[in-house]
Amino acid sequence: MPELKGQPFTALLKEVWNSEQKYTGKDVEATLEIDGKLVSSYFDFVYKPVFDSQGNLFCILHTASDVTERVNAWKLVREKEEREQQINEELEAANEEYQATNEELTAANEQLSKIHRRLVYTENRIQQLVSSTPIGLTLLKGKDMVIETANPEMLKIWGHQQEEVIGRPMLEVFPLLKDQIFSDQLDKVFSWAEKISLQEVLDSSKQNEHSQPKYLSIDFIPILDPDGKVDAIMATVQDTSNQILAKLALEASEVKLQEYNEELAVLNEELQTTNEELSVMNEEYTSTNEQLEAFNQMIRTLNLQLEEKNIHLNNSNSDYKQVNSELNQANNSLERNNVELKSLYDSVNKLNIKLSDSEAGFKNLIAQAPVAMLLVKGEDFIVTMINSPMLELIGRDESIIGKPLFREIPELVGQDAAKKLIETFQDGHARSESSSAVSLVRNGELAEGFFNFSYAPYIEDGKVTGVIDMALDVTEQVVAIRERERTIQEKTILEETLRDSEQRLQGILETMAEGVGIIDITGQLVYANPMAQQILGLSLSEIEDRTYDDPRWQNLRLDGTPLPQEEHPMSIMMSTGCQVFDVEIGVQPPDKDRFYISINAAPIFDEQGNLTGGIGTFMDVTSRRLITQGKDDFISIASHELKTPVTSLKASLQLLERSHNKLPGESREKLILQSIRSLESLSRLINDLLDTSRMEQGQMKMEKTLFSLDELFDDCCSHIAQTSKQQIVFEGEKAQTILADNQQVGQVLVNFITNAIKYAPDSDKIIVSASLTAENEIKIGVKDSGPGIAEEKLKHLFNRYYRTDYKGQKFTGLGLGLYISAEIIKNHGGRIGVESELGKGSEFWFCLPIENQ
Amino acid sequence: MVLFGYKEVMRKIFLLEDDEGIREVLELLLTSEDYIVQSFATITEFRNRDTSILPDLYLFDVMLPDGSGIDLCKEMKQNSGNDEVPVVIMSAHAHIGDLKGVCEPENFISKPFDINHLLERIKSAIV
Repeated sequence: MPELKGQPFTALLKEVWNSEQKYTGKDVEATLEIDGKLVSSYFDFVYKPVFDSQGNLFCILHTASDVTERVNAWKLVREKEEREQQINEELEAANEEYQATNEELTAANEQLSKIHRRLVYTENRIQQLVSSTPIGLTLLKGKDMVIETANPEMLKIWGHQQEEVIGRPMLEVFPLLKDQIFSDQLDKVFSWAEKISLQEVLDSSKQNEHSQPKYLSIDFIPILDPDGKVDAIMATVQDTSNQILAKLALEASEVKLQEYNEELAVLNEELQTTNEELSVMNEEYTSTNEQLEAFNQMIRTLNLQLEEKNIHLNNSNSDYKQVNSELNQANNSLERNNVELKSLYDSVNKLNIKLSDSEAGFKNLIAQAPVAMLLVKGEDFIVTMINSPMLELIGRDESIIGKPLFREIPELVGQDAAKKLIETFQDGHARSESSSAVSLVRNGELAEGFFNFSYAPYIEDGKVTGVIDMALDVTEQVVAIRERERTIQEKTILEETLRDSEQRLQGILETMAEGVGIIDITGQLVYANPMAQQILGLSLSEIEDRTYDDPRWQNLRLDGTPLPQEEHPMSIMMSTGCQVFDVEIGVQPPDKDRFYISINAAPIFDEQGNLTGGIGTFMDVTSRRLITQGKDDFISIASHELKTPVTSLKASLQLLERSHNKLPGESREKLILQSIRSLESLSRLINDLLDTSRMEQGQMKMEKTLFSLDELFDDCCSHIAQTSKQQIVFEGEKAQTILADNQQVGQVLVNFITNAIKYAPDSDKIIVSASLTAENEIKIGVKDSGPGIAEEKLKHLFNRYYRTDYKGQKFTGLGLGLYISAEIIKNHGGRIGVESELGKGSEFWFCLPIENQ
Repeated sequence: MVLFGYKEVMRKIFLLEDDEGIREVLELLLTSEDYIVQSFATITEFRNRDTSILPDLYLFDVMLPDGSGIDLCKEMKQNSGNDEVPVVIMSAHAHIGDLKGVCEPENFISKPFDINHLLERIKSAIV
């Protein structure tokens, strides 16, 4: 089958052979030669490998079936489908076109309705325009000019109602127009479509005698139909009566003006002629004047000539006159001399009178002056004038006049006043002095006085010939001033002293250890020094806010009850006016511990002896009070503690004494033992008291010996252990020896152990331990397993008189044991202390140094 | 108790005293004077007594470890069941004589006492 060459089958067969895999073909075209013609047919075929019994490829089985018809039928179907597809697409395209056309139509429609709306709007506007325009508008239709519309202004011009004119021909409504020229022209508007304007048409239709003529301005405008033919005429009519009338009036007045102008021209001409006439007359006057001037000139010349002739005549006469006047002059001068002499005489006379007047005046002035005045003249200072005040001042009489001043009053020589007087005489300068001291002999005694004086040179003929002395006795004033000055000075010193002492007082008040409070008459506090503020624990303003008996103080009596107001030391002082000393009261501030103050209260009196307030000084005596209280309490306790064994001792002995025969032996023994115990207890108490007293006075003597702790424990504890139900154990450094007062240290240990027994009765074991500390001390502790001690009590335990309680239960004893123990250990240079925990027990311990043994 | 052949009604005293020594001596003394004595060392102990027995006298110390004999006296006097039982107070504080208003004991004895004096007081209080 050579035709298979170039077709894929050979290659496929090879492939199956090589791969040994089956190949299946479907609708594969193959061209075969059939009856010598190449025919293309379609086949479904299989190349299947066939294996022999060893599994080797043996051959390929080829099976094929002709499927050409089936393939062709499918082709036909596919072609039909394609055509249908095409038709569908065409239909769709047509549809889309329709759609588009439709949309355009809709758009056009919208456009049209928009235009329509705009047209309606425009028409509406035009109609409004037409109806509201002040120009008459009418539309005339056709050749007959039927009035189609007319706006209100038009109707107003016509003077008709709308229904009277609409639809009627124009000329029928307004027949007057018929005869007017423009009726022809209106035809033109129709035939030629020209616009016509008619001006100043007189509307005579409504004219009568009373009314103004009415002028109208009319425009006819052709309105064309779409074919360009005139369809109607629009007439616009404007009432121009006013303009026309104004124009006519203007024309009329212009004519009048013209007339006036002409009249004026005529008058002008007349004036011109009159002027010319006047000019001619003027010229005539001028020439007449010139002639007159010439005449005048001639007359003047004649006059001059006449004058000359007269002068000549006068000259000859004057010679005689001269001689005469010379004689006359001589006579006159003689007479003048005479008069001058006379007046000279008179004035000399007057001067003389004046001079004597002025001298008398001067004398009077001096004599009557209220100040002392004195005139001395010449180098000997002769007293020339002196008035009585001056005489009085110097203590002399008038006999001094005419005598030299310094010889009469020799005490002046050398004094400042005298020097000034002499200087004034020498240099001619006036001087004045005030409050100048001058010593004068008056009544035989030299006395100092003070004077204001002035020296004035006395000048005669320009020369100093003497001195005027004026003096004023100011002794009293000066003395007064000096007195005052002295007083002021004294006062100043006094004030300074006062200020100093006030400052000192202030300083004392502020630094003193006592509180000071000052009250006014009402009891109000007006001052409190810093210590008062400190003691009271209040600020100054808080204190000054109160009276001394303000209930806020919370004053108490010493027994703790409230202090009644009348018992307050300040009250007692204020009511009696007497000083009160050293009264102790308690103060209970609301949020602090109670304290006690000792008050001195002193009254303050004014100069008249009236009570104006009081001063209270006080100090905080709380510690003193507490010590006293402690001592009181202690004495009370001590007496009670002492009385207790005494009571049983006394009762036992009395009972023994009274009825020893009646009592059984057993009871007697009991009583005797009880007496011994009581005595022991008594002596213990007495020892404690004595020890305390010795310690306080520093008389506790130590006798140090070397002993071991074992010995110490045995000495102290054997007898306690016998009487106590508790077990007492000693452990630790038992063999350690110490150098100390055996008896005293033993007392401490016994105290610790008896305390443990007393306060921890329920602990079955009391452990005494000895250990060495890092500080080279031996520490001995006594430990119980009792109730323990509250922390706030621990710090008080070693204080004197402190007695603890447990759950409100008091214990007997003086409260001195631990105090004495502490003192003993302190004296040994050791330390003492306690550790305790509530519910766990306590350990009291002391340490003693072992270094210097 | 039969003494010298005739029968005497025994007086009963409740003694409250904390000091052991005094308590012992008083017990001996009062017993020898034919009183029946029941003693208590503290108020607590006293309160726990058999209250069905009423004594003829209460003898109270003042300073007790858990309270005051005076307060107890006041309490006993206010209690209607006890108002007929006399109370005698003893104290080492001599100034306690003025107890007026605080409590009204039938008698007061200051410590240390004379036993004859004590017995007289007790006797007069009971009668």
